[in-house]
Amino acid sequence: MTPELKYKVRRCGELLAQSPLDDEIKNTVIENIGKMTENQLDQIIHSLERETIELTALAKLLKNFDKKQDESWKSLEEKQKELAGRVIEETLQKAG
Amino acid sequence: MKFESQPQLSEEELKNLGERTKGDADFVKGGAEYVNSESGPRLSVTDEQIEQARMEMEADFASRPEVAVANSPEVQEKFNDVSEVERKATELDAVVPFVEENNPELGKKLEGMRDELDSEAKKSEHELEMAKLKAEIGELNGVVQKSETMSRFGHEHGFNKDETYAFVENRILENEKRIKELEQNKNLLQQEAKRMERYNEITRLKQEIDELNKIVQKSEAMQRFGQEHGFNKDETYRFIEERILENERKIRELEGGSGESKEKTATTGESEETPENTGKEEQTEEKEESGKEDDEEGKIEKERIVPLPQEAEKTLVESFKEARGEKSWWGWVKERAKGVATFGFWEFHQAERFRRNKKKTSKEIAEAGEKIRKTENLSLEDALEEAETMRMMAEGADVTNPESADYENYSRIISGHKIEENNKRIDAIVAESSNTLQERMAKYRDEFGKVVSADERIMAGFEGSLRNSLLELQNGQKESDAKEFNKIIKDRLDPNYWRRYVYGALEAVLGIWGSKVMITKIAASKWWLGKKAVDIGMEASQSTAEETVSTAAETVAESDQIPMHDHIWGTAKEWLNQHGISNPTNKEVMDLSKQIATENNIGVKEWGIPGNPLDTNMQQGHMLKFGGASKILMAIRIARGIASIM
Repeated sequence: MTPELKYKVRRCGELLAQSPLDDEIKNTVIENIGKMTENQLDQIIHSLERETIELTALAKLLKNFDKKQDESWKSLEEKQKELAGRVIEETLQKAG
Repeated sequence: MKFESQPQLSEEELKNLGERTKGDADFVKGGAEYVNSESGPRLSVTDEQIEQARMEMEADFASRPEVAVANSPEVQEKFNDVSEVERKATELDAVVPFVEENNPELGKKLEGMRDELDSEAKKSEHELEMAKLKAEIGELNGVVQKSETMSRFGHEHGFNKDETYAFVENRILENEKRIKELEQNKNLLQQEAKRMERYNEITRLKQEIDELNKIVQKSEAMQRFGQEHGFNKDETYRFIEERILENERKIRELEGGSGESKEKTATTGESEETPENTGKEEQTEEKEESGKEDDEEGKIEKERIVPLPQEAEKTLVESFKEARGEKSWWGWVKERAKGVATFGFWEFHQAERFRRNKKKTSKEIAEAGEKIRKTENLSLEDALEEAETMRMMAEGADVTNPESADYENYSRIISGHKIEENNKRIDAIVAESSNTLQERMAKYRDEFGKVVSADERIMAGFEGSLRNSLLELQNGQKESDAKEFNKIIKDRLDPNYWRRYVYGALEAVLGIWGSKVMITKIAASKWWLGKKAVDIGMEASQSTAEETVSTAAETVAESDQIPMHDHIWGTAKEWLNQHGISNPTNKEVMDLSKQIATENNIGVKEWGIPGNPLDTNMQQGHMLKFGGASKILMAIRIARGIASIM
C-alpha cells in the first residue's frame, strides 16, 4: 500500500469514528472496504469531510445564537428595570 | 412535565445517572448551588464553572486537523455558497414534478431554474474544493513547522522522521498541482455554461420546428394559420418552410458546424447535442493532444478502480478503533444543538461534560451521598424531559416548515426556562418597585389626607399595570427567540438537506451494496442523536401521551398519521389551513386529498382511485398517513408566490 493510500484509509477510519452516523452505516463501510476502489474511498472521505464542514458551520451558528440570546435576555432585564423606574416616577408625579 | 408512572431505565442509564449525581458534589464544592424552580430543585452552576467547561469543549473541538480545515474562513465562505445553491436545488426537486403536472408553464420555468442552479453548483463546488486544498496545505505546512506535531503525525502514520517530511512535502505538492488543475478547469466550466445556453436555445428551436411540422400535417390547422396571418395556402406553406429552414440554420450555427449531417441531426433528432456529450468530445480532443501524459494518467486511473489491497481493511479498522477512543469533537456540536433546543438545560449539559473530565475522590462521593437521592430524582426528571425534547426533534417532525405547529412546540421549549427565570425577575422588579414607591410616597397624602401608598387597591393596580408592561417586553423577546431558532432549523437542521447534500457521495457508494435505504432512514431521523436518545424519548412520550393535546395538523413527518375528521376532504382542508394555506381552493384541497387517498390505499370512485376501504365506508378517526403531504404543501406555496422562496 502506498503512503498516500495508507493516509487516505487512516483518514477514512478517523473520520468515520468521529462521525455522528449510525454504527450500522459505519459497519457497512468497514465490512466492505475490501471490495472498495480508491475512487469509492475518495467519495466516502469527501462525504465525511462535508459532514465535518457542515457541523463546523452549525457549531458556529449555535455558538453565536447562544451568545446572542444571552445578551438579549440581559438587555431585556435592563429594559424592564428602566421601565419600572419610569413607571414609579410617573406615579409619583401624578400623586404629587 | 409530569409522568403517570416512573419510567424504567436500563442498567447503563441508571449508571450514567448515578455518575452524574455523584459528580454534582464537585460543582457544589466549586460554588454551585441548588435553587428551587417550579419543576423542583435545580443545580445552578457558577459562571466560572460554565466558562471553564465551555473552554474545555472548545479546545476539544478545535484539536482535529479536519476541523481546522473546515474552520478556515475561506472554506466556510465557499461552503455557504455551495449550501445555498444545493438548498435551492433540493427545494426545487421536491416540487417540480407536482408543479409540472398542475401548471406546466411554471414547471418549465422551474426546470430552467434547476439547470441554472446545476451550473452554479458546479462552479461553487469547484471553488470550495480549491479552498479546501489551500487550507490543507496551510495545515500541512504547520505540521512541518512544528516538530512535535510532525513527530505525532509521523507516529500516527507509521513513518520515520524523513518519511514524514517527504510525505508531507509530496502531499503539499500534489495539492498545489490539483489547485492548478482546478484553476484550469474554471475555463472549462465557463465553456460549459455557454454550451448549456446553446443547448437550451437549440431545444427551443427544435420544438418550434416540430410544432410547424404538425401544422403542415394538419391542413385544417394550416388553413386557420394562413387566415390568422392573412396568407393564402401557398404563402402559408412557404412561410412555414422558410421558418423551418431558418431554425435549422440557426441550430447549425449554434452547434458550431455546417454540412448535411448536421442538418439531418437538426430535423431528425438523431445524436442530439447535449452539454454532456459535447463535454466528452472536448475531453477526447484534449486527451489526443496531451499524448504521453495521458498514458501515465490512464495507468493511475486504472489503479484507482481496482479493489483496495487486503491490508486496507486492517488499517481502516485500526485507525477507526484508535479514533473511537478519542473524545469526539462531534459531541461538542451535539451539546450545542441540544442547548439550543433546551435552553433550560444548557448549563446542565455543560456541567455534565465538565463533570466527566474531573476525578472524584471517595471522600467527595461520601460527602455527596446525602444528596444523591434528591438529585437522582431531579436528574431523572430532567433526563426524561430532555429526551422528550430530543425525541420530537429526532423523529423528523416538520422542522423545515416555518408555519408548522412543530415550530411552536420548539419555540415553547426554547423560551420555557428563560421565561421562568424572567418571570421571577419580573416578580422581584415589581416587588422592589412597589416598596420603593411606598417609601417615596410615604409623605404624600390625597385631598382627604389619606396616605396613598397605604391604599392596597391603588398599589395592586400599580403592580398589575407594571407587571403587564414588563410582560409585554418579554413577549417581544420570545418572538425574537422563536424567529432565530426557526432560522437555524431551516438553515442547518433539515434532514432532507443533510441526506442529499452531506451524505450524497456516501449514499452512492453504499448504494452499490444495496444500503441506500439504510442511510436515508438514518440521516432523516437519527443522525444527530443516535438511537438511545430516541428510545428514552419514546418511553417518556408513551407516559405523557394522554396529556398531550394534539391536533390533526401538528405533524408532517413522513411516518406520522393523523385521525380523519368527517372525511378526507375536510381533513385535508383543515390541515392546509393549519399550515398557513388560508382559504385553500377546491383544486388545492383535491390535490392533497388525492395524495392522501393514494398514499393510504383508500378507494375514491369519483376520482377513479382504486383502494380498500372505500372513502364512503370509512370510520371517524381512521388514521391517515400524511407522508407526501409536505411536498404538496410546498408546491402550493410555490405556486401561490414563487418569488417569496426563490
